[in-house]
Amino acid sequence: MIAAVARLALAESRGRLLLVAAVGLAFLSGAWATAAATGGSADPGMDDLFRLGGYPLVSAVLLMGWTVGRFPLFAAIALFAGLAWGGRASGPARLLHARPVSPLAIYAVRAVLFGALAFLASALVLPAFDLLILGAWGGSATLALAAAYILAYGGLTALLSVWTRADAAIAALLAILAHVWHGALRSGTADAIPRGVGRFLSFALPPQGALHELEGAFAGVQPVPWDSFGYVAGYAALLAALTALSIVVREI
Amino acid sequence: MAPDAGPLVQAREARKRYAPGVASSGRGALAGVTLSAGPGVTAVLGPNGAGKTTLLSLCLGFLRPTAGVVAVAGMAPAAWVRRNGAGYVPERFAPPGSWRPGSVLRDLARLSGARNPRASARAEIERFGLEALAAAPADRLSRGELQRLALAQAAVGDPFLLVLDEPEQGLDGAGRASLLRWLNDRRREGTTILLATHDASLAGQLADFIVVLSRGAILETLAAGDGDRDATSYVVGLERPHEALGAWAGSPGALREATVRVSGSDDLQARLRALADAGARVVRLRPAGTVLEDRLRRALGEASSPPPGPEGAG
Repeated sequence: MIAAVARLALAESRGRLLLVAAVGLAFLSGAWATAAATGGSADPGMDDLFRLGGYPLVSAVLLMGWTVGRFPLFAAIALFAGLAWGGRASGPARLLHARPVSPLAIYAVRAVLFGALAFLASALVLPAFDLLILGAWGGSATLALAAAYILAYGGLTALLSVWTRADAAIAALLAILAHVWHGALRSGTADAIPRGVGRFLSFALPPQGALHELEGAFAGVQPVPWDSFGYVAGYAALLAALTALSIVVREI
Repeated sequence: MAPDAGPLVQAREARKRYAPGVASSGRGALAGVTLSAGPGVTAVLGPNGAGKTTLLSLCLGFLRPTAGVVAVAGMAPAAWVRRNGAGYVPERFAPPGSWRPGSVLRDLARLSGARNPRASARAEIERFGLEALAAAPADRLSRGELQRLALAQAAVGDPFLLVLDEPEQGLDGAGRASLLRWLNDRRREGTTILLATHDASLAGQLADFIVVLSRGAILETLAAGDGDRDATSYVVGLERPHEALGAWAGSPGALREATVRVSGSDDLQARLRALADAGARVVRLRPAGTVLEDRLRRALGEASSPPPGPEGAG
């Protein structure tokens, strides 16, 4: 059963898999081009970059470095979109629901498959990017960061996919809001907001605070903050439970 | 193998009202439908928006009734389907473009619990003439080829409940013949087949029971007797109007063209001879369908008439 569901899911999502691969290759091309432009030396200094391309190049490389940290987020949203099947009336959802197989088992297989693929892509792209541009990689923190992003945003997109076809767009919007909110918390600009509202936003939005701590470990080649990882894993478990409940309750 | 000979699917006063959306008020799709479907073909006929798809979706547990009861073998439909599986053809079959009939049918056969998924997939590919298309991606298939794939995926694993929503859509003559052969075979094996269609001719050829649905309610239920299926009507045209044709059609006066009924080919020959003997020259003779089809077309005509109130059921 697992192999059959996995093959059907892979055949259905070939376009999205290619998109994730293409974005990953774009990042690696950028890293390789940066390293090549600075004489092939790993870890180019800001001065080297400034001499070579001025502020635009420095900004571009910094932006690329920040963005590649969100590659697992992108891969998770791209692959989990439509997990519980958007096209309910005509799409494969009803074809599968007519088989003597638990729908929960079908969606669990799909979630594990897409999660594993998103993790595999991230586990290739992030270390390769670091090695190309810095000459070293963040070790297990890199993998922990990728896993945490995939758990948080894969879980969120999966839940949304049960209820709406705009799952990817809403997940991306919530990701942006979470980045802004936790950025405001860190900078202190959110202090003016009533405490209750702030607590609610921190709880309701994706756990970007914990993800930022994991990112800090990734960027600084520090040990993994496992308490932050545990918080993200708990958030993902809650989303998984809500998704399972939604699949049972939702008509198709 | 069918579970037993009694009705497998039962609906009692089943109602369905869709929840209001962001831009629409809620609408009623079924207004209290009661029916039983056992081994054989039960056809649900009706115009667009009559509630056929909603009724079929309730029978498979895709939707839940707002009121009333729908059960399969006494169980909630979703629970029964999860245990036994069902063959389902959706009204609009649009599989992912990268699905390929050969591999998809093997995987769906495996999920359907077929003992030999490969053999089951191959048998359905042959039955529905998909041999040359087994490796083609679905986005390269024509409308009719996709519909044959829809039928094949419903057939894999030989489920003993088939729920088919307008399965004849887009099929050419050969595809339609495959559909008829398949459904007749499955009927003989005791499969319970629920078939929604606009096509009175298809229902007339296949169905043991026919339910005419209009605006979410049952307008008429017909049991197909063999006599009805065999008796055929013809359109007869004469060179000039003649009283003999009027008498045959049960209409006073001379007629130039009329739809008449016969009980078989001998009856037809005898009546045409009688017309010739009376001096009428037949210039046109066209089959118009069985008596059952006539009855269905009349019922469908009533079902298609405009609703009396401002709100129609969907």
